Amino acid sequence: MDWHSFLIVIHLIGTALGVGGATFAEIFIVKALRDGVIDPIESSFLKVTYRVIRTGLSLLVISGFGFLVISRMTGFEERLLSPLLWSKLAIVVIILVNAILLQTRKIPLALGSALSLSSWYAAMLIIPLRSVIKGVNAGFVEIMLWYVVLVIVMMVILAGIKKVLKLFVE
Amino acid sequence: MKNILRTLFVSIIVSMPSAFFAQAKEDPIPKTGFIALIAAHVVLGIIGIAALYAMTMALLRKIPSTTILRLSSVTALVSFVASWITGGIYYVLYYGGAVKPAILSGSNPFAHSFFMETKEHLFLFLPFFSLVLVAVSFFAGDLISKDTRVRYALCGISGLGVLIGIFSTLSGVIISGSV
Repeated sequence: MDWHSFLIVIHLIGTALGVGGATFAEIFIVKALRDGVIDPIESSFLKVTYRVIRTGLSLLVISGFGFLVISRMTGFEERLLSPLLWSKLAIVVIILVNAILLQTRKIPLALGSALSLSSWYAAMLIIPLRSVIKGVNAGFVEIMLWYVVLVIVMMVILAGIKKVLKLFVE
Repeated sequence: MKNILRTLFVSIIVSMPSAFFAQAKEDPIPKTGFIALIAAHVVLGIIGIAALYAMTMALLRKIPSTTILRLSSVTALVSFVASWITGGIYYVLYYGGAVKPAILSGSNPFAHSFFMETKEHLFLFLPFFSLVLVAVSFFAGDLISKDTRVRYALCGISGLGVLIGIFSTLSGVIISGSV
């Protein structure tokens, strides 16, 4: 197995852990906040999920930069200035900053959780959708604008889910 | 003095097996030794930034875990020093002779003249920030949970370290992409 294949495996494992973890973190938070209180058992589930997300993010970042080193060393430097790559890097930075803002309660949970979930799915889907993105010649700004749209849509969806669940509880 | 130190440093390094670390000429595809150096520089740098980020998140809690603070600060210090050494060797033996001229004569000369020059100086904060964090974690660990001013001050240092680290990393991407 060459380095590139090894890094792909690590990157996919990181994606599964990160995106899966972020999805379940959101499900657990919605479920836990149905009664307005997060009890110790719910809190322990969330802690484990966050640990899984952090593990996934670590694997993704290290393997991701491994790809960049390989690109540089095999003569494909132009990939390092690609709008797709820079959009992904920006989204990873948003994930990191969002986590800090959520921890310090400087951001409403509704916005923070929508940002987190949208960011993970956007980062996952950017590469599979690259043929579409390249086809419409989208640059960094256009990709990030679509990302903002995704965040807004996600906020609306999550708000709707929470409202429906609240009706069931009542 | 700078020239003497530089000559001493280079003479120590080039005494290593020359087949592995041959002096770079204008070769855009480096030898295995240089690939290993740049890979180590990148990975160690990212581990250092991740450790500082973990420390920032730990310090944001009301009662930070002393174990996590000590482990993450030591990891950050060791990683940044190792990244510094590997990056320095790579710069002196390869980048300066083969990559820098290519960037300066290419379409994005600012990649070296701004981003690399800034990175070279800004990253120096990171090992010393980490050293401060190690010192406080090990010698005044109790003070961190008792005094919020100390906690916030350390959080500021580690947070600033994360920002500098992210800037350095993204600068590295721009520099490598401009070859």
